[in-house]
Amino acid sequence: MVLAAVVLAGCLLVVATALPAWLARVDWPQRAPAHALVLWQALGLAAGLLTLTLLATVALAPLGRDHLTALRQLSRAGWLTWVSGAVALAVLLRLLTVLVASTVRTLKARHDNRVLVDLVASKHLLLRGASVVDHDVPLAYCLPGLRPRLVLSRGTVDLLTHDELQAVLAHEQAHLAQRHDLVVLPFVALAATFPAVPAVSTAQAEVALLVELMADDRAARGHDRAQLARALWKIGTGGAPAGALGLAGDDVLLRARRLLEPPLPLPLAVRVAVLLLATAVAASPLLGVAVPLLV
Amino acid sequence: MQTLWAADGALTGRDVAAALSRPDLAYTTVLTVLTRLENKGLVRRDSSARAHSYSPVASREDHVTVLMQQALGQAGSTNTARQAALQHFARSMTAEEAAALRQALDED
Repeated sequence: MVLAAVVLAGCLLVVATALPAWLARVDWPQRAPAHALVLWQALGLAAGLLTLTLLATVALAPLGRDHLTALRQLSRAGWLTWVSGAVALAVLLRLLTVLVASTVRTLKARHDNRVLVDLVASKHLLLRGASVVDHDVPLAYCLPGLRPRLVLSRGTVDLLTHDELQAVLAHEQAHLAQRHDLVVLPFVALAATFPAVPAVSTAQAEVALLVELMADDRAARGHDRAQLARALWKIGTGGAPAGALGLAGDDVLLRARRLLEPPLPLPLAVRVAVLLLATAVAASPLLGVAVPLLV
Repeated sequence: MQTLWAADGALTGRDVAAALSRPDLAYTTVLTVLTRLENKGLVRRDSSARAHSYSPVASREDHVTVLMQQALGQAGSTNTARQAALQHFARSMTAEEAAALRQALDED
């Protein structure tokens, strides 16, 4: 059991520090954003499960040489078991409550905004049913959910050409169709739970960027990449206050350069390797249970 | 809502029904909608006269301003959960970023 705890702690260290730092540094993710996203999800899942398994292992260590034997001896439990067990439970509860609270806040903000959009905006069938708000500041966003909305300001409609507008709408529709809001949600919740952990904020920023890249790629299938880059520039310099309109790390320059000079897609073998790594990461918490049975 | 915004003062249920020029809408339907708008805090009811009259609580422009504040993330919140609610196409750029992107676009 001691060996299992050491193995789990080692895995946690790699999953929560080394791998996120590496993934944020390398540049292949922009050549295969969907694969990088799966790896981030595996890292997030594994970090949570490893923490819980580690605490459970510490709790059960004095009771038996593997998890199952120890569980049967639970009536002989001493203080270490109860303390570790309580911490594990507290961590789990905290994770769940923050996840729920953060989800509720996001849904509330979306709902409040949708009510206003429906009240003051007019729908335009030529603009894929987008709601147009009568305001000068250029703005383009979508409200994900069961009743999604594409929202443009009149400033955006005036500023962009027809083709640019259609490319922007295709980008936002990709967000809606691929439900990127659901992808981002757990990472936002994680960042709210552990604001001081650098890997967590890195993960949130990287995931936010990756879904933008995926939406760009989707829009680029039917539209000119340069038009999309021009639209980025036009809206980005169109008068919204600096720092508004975006999540930290959603790097406009990187997106524009990538649109103008698309990088080669990652070779198939490398993409398979990334998915294998993601599987290994996600399965790493099982090591803790397996080690005492094997040695 | 559009009818009430277009009107100068408060309108009674009958006024609204007449202004809508939709004969398929029953007067009671119009009253139901007005009551619902009142419950949402969007219109104010004046019960002093025999026929209740309704007027908007805020102008269309006020609502647009609040909407833009929410969308621009200026609603007094640095909260990531609130920011993540809306998925923006582009964020506003600093002068250096704009210059760099302009150059990249010109080279293309």
